[in-house]
Amino acid sequence: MILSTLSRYRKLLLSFAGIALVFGLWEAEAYWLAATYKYGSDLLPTIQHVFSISLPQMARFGSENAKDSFLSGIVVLLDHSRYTVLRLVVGTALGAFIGIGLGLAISINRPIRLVLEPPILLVRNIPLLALIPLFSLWFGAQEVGKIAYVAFAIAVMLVINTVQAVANVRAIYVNYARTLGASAPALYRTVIIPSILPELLAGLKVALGVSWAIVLAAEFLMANEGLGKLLILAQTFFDVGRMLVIVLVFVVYSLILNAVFDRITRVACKWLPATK
Amino acid sequence: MQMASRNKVIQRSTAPPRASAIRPGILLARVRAGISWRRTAERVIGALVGFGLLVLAWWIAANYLGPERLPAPNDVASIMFRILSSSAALQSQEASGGIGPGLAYSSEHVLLGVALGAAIGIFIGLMIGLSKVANEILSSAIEMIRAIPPLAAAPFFLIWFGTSGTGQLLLIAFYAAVMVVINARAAVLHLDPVHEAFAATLGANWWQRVRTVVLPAFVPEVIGGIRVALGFSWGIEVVAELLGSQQGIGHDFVLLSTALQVDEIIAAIIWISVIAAVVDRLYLVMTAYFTRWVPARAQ
Repeated sequence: MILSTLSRYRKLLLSFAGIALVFGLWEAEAYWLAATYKYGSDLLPTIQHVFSISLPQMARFGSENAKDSFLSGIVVLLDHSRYTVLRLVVGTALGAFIGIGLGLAISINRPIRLVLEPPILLVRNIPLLALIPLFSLWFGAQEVGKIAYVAFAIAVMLVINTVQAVANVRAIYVNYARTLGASAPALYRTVIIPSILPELLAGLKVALGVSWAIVLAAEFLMANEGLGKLLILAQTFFDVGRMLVIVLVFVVYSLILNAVFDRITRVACKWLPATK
Repeated sequence: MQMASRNKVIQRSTAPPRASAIRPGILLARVRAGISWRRTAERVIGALVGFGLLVLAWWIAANYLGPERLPAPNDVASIMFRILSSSAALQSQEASGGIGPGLAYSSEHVLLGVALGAAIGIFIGLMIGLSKVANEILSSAIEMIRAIPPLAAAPFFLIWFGTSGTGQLLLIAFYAAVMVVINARAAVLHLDPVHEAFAATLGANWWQRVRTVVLPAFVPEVIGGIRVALGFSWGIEVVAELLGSQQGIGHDFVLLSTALQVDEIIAAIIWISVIAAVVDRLYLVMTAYFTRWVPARAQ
């Protein structure tokens, strides 16, 4: 008991040391650059510069003659987050719905699977981010283009994930249910969907990471608002401080999103025997 | 009937497409089972019908949208090889007439970047695998760094290292290193300490434990991580070049987009996909040797 508490403290201390290591290296590098090069502080500002100067400066992205302040800086960040998070969540949800639905439809029937799986695997070979010139030509800065791009990428990933998850269900479970007289809908409801759920959620988590990349690429190149657009704007001003503020916001969002997702996974897979 | 179901089971067990699935023994068993020819024929016919449907859907969509939005598949097919050496939109802008040099430039960057990142990633991954303290210290740092979307790092690398190529290369190396470390860490976390303790009980020294317990858990995961990085890096390279590069396929995309050459853009995307797929298959073949002992389906 005492031993486990002690080792927990040790663990906490060491993980704190890890975070301190990252920020310490950042700070040391910033001071070294500022001392060595004339414009070194532009390459990597210190942590206190990022929080006390760059964060209020975010206000300038809101309106031309806004005064720098923490409050208006945060308001601008939240305002643009709205677009980014909306694109991410709506696109991912739409893509997951289409992808998982199509994957299940394909898995139901062997002839359909034999016909539809090869072209989907072929499409999967396209590096998703390489499609951006096409989407940007088709949709320009229209909102629907960005959501369609995210949805397409997620759907393509999840169709294959779903088909493979269904194929991985142990034949003995399916045969057993069939022997007991389960109809096709009952088989899906009681055997296949519960047993593919963990694999499906794991696939969705990977897809969520890809969603971030797609949304960012889309905002870099085909948007007038959103955090990705702000990042590129700050880059054109060579303002690494404000870029770092935006990246820290990204880190916070993706940590929150991952935590929410893990929580959903835990609840959805409660019936599974613990693996660890 | 019994034969059919046995064959089905065998096929199921080879379902995941991984290097180790290509095992002559299983192929032989399928041939001996006797029914494999019918199944193969079904697969081939299904695939042909599927590809036919894909082309048909594209063709119908093209007719509906018009050539300036989506050119027909036969129009794209007819320029596939010409575009490598000559494209009107590119010729007016730069000396190299086609996308061939751009493709080569970008491919080189992806391969070099992933190789560099993999080397760094394997080094850090080994540290995590071999030292418990390193694992605990680096874990939180890694969790934080992996939360940065790889593309969010792109503008930084372009500012720090320039848009002339180094920035893109190091961005890919960064992404690949993070990917490898995450996978290496997963391998270490999933490794039951019982195995190492058991080996130690049997009198294995440090190097023997590393060679027979840690590395076998480590190698397949790292190889998988590098493969994921390799697959995703093509897109990262394209986007990083779109953000400001004077060379490479991303730069070609900028020129083609300005000229509204949708057919040539689609042809270029197909070329990247083909190169990415070929590199992926080559990687599988090359790494199959290192994972030959892994069962076809790790259960």
